[in-house]
Amino acid sequence: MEGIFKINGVERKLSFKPHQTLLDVLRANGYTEVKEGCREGECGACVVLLDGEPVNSCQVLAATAMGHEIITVRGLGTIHNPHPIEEAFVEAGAVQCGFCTPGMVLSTYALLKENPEPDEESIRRGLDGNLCRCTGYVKIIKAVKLASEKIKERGR
Amino acid sequence: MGELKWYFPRSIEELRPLLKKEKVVLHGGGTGLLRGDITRYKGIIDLQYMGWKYIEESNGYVKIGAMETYNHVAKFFPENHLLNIALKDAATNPLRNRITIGGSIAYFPPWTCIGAPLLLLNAQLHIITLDQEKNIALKDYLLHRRDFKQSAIAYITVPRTHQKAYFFKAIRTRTDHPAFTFAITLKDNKVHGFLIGTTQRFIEFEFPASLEIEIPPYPFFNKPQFSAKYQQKLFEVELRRGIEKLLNKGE
Repeated sequence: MEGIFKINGVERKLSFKPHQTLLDVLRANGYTEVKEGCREGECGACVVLLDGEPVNSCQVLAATAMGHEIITVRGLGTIHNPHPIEEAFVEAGAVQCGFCTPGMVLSTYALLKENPEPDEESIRRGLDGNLCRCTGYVKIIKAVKLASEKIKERGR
Repeated sequence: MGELKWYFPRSIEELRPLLKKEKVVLHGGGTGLLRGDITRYKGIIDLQYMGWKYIEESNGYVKIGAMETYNHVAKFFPENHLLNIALKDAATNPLRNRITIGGSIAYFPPWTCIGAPLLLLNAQLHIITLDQEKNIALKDYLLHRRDFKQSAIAYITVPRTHQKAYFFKAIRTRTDHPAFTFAITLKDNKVHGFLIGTTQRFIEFEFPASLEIEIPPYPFFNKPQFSAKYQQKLFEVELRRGIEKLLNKGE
């Protein structure tokens, strides 16, 4: 089947099988920044924003996402113009292997949109769907707090 | 095998003929569907355009559209409401943005967090069948599931406030699938509650409002999280803790 997907602000007509997940369709069409982890909705590596809310793209059938706004981490910032959240993750030392980072950044983005100055419990709840095997989460929590400050300063 | 077909009804009139089709399945949030092999179906009926995503309050009751998600419902209710307590930490944040109230009720897996609270609140369902719309208590819906095969839940209604209640989920980690859940309240000097996670879809129980109760064995089954024997022990301990909290709250 075919459908229109609005990905990072760009509408694209994509062909896919009716039983395919959004994760598979995105990766097959070049959005490899959306990482394949557990494929069970547990690890959060595949998180994207669907109409502004973080979802596990491995748990979303692509057909149901047609016509909706999809943001991947590439839609937030670039290597030459990183989003404050991406800067914060680097500055706080919250990136080791980097595999969880796209999902973490998007969950952080959604969290800070709703709660610009979250406490630690809110951060843990907002990112409870993103697993990291490397960092032990301490630096990630620090990164979210730093991102909150940066966004507050810059108004972005 | 033909290709799986997607349907996107926008009204009850469009939905009804689809419910009659063979081997079709309803899609709420979709997370339950992906646990099985969806290619065994001929069609998927996506309910997202039915206008069933809303929460409205009126005359002391809250009407929740079947397509509302766990996160939205949790955020609507205050921190001491059973639905906030049960849903705010259910599954994970990305899953709470997909799991729908209607989907959860229709699927009703043993690990559901919403089952016991909704039963305790005597949630009422508004169901669309092939030829009518009807209201039914969740308890009756679960007891007569086979009568509602070709139907869809449009919304549920719960009270805005409730008496002191206690909710417990047997988990190992914060985002674990619960091995079982229960919700209790005090009613006429008795502890009234519902247990989910045994071989029965749900168990309704009642005990005197005392810590000196004898708890019978319940039909738990071995799960990856805990053995049946451990679940029974855990239930006994946590039920008594819950009763103690209800008795001592004095609010």
